Amino acid sequence: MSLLAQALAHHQAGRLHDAERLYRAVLDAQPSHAGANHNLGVLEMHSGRMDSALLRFKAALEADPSEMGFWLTYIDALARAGKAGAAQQVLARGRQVGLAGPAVDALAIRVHAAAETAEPYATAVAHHRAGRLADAAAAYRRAIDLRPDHAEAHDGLGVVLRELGRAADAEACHRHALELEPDFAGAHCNLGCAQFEMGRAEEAEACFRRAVALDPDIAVAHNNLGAVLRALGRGGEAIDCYRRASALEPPDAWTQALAALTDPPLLLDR
Amino acid sequence: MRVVLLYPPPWRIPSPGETPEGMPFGPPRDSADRALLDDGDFREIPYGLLTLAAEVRRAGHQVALFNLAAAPWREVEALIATHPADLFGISAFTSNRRGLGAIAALIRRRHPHAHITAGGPFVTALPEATLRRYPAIDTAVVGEGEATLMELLDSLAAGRPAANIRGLVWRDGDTLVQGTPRPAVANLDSLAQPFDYDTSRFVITSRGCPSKCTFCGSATTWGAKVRFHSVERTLETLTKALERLAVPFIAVKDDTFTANRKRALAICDAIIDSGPNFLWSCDTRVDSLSGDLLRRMRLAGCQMISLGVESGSPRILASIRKRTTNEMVLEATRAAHACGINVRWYMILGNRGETRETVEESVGLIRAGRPDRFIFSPLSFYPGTEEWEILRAQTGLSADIFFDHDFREPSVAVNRQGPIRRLQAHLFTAIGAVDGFERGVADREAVVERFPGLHAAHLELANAYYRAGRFGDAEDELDRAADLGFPIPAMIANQRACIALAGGDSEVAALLQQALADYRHPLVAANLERLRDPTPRLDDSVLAVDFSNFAETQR
Repeated sequence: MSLLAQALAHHQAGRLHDAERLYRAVLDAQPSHAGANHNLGVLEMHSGRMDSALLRFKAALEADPSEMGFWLTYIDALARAGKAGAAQQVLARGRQVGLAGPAVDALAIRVHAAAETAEPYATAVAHHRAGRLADAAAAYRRAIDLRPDHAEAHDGLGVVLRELGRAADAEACHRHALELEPDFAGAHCNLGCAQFEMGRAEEAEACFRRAVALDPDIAVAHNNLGAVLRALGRGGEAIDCYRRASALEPPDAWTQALAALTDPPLLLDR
Repeated sequence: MRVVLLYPPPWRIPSPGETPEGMPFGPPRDSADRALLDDGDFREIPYGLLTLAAEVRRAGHQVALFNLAAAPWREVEALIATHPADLFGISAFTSNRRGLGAIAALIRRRHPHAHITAGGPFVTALPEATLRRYPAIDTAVVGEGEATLMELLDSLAAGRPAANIRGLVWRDGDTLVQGTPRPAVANLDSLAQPFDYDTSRFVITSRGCPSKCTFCGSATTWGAKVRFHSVERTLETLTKALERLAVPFIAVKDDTFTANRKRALAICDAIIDSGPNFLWSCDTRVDSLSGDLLRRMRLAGCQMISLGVESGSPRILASIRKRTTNEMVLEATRAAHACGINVRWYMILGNRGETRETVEESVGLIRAGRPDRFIFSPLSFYPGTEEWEILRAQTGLSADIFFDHDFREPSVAVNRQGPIRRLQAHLFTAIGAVDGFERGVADREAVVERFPGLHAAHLELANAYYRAGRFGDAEDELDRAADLGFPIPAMIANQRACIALAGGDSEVAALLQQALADYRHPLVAANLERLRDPTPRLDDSVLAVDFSNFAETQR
């Protein structure tokens, strides 16, 4: 069995870490391998590493523009990433070279909807980062009204609601996001945060474990798993999680964090 | 006079299922800040409010005392509506300063003619700012409140204005007037006994601290000199407190319980000779301990000491005026461990001048001392502390910061949850433990060898045996602890239940239910709930360091 076939078998069986390792081995030998780039991109997209996934999809398409599936995946991913304008451009280019059929038409409708959603979603993220929670919630809701299957918007709304002290409502949002994208690692992690805040530590533990299984590289999920195990009195297991979280950070991350803590002494604007 | 004394919630707490209100009086945004509601220390009514209530009752006034630390706002509204009074007294720390403002406004709306006074550590540090920002409050009590409150009540009862009273800040039109400082209570034993009237698991036997650390506001609250209750009064207080508690465990919350070693020794000797059989903990400093004192503290029932270690860096220790050394910390910890006393270290993260090297020195100290528990807290700037004054001088900030910005605690952690999380992961990894170090069979056997007649030492050895899988030895030690009169039988029964579960015995539930027969010990009750899980894990703590486990204590 070829490396790619083995990787695909792992991928289909949910052994994502093994799948990723083998996809990367294929790409080490042949960086422009269309299938490996595509499949690794799918894996990365589902675990929340959208920026990297987009680069993989682009590479796959450039390596083999005759494969309609590569067009569809790339365009869909651009739309999901809030890059609706770019998605529309790629779609137009695809149509120029003969991209057609019911799947393409359905995608065109979604891209159009995403274009309409893009602005409220980007606005929501900007409000959220600035700590304007009520504005962020309203913008996330506008994005969801425009595109009810926008998993990231449901998840983002959940985070905002939790920060507003509405953990139960947050849980419903994260669950909705996961109904739309069951392998959305970030949403599993955020669902765990909401449950942890409501005192449901065992359920939160399961969520954080699912998140790190889907994407072993999310440091914050390892950290959260450590926190929940610590709260459950399982310090021995918790320390392993903190070690993994720490190992995922650059070696000088903690000294940078310390510098951020002590200089300047106070930052009360947000 | 009808008097209502209140400890307010930190913010307007939503009822279950209710949508929380927004800023400024709703819950804080950061979940780390909201965790205050789970803090057992915060939820306990301040001892000073108990003393005030006792004093006012002794003078013949009609007093209602309410701990609203965790009360949903709807309940607060209902309670205020149904309790008219001539005077409302509210005590607040920095952490519930927004609740102080919210409840004062509520009282003013409901009882427009009542006098509202406020006190406590926060108000003592910022009396004028408090009155300026909270117009519903009539007067502010600075420092110890007993005599000031009595004089205020006398004035109001006589129909005189609330003015010209020592220790009080009052309004004169739009102007605030600060009375002359009131001298500290010279004889603490002259104060009324709180446990003649109320119940608490906290006891305070002295006021003040011999040290003047830059981050602490003790001197602002209590004055520069440490004052003590007598040995006799302390024994009376402990005895009366225990008569009201279902679980005989008391937290002595003096700033430095052993500041006067001779007195601490005398208290311990009195407990050993003829005092009550109970367990207790205290906070203290490493420079006011000795091997002999720790030995007698242990024999008197002391289970845990909390030490303000703060940092492992000599440079930082000097800059915060700690006046201790790493050697003193290690020696005190070693001596306490030799007696089987659990040791908790309080550490501060983000001190002035903190660097990679100073953090590594703290990590090294913790690895060397192996405390049973260590807690890193980001540096907070409390009013009335030197750190706040330094920050104020450096930045030009005013006291308004304590009322603005959605009431977020001025701290190095504000808006820095990401860096805090990264630092925490690094610290735990570098230390090799998340909260503290467990002591094993050899350590616990050595303690039993040293204190063969001490019931608690046998219980702890039983726990060590249980964790090592030596269930038979654990059962034997539990029998010895029971024979020697360990005062919390539910904890013994809980250990037996843990052993039964590990050994596949079906009697686990029966053992736990038996443990709950006398009183509903929260740890045991929680374990009974855990049995419903498909693969239950029981809390096998011998003596929970988290005192919230002892929250339900009133008979």
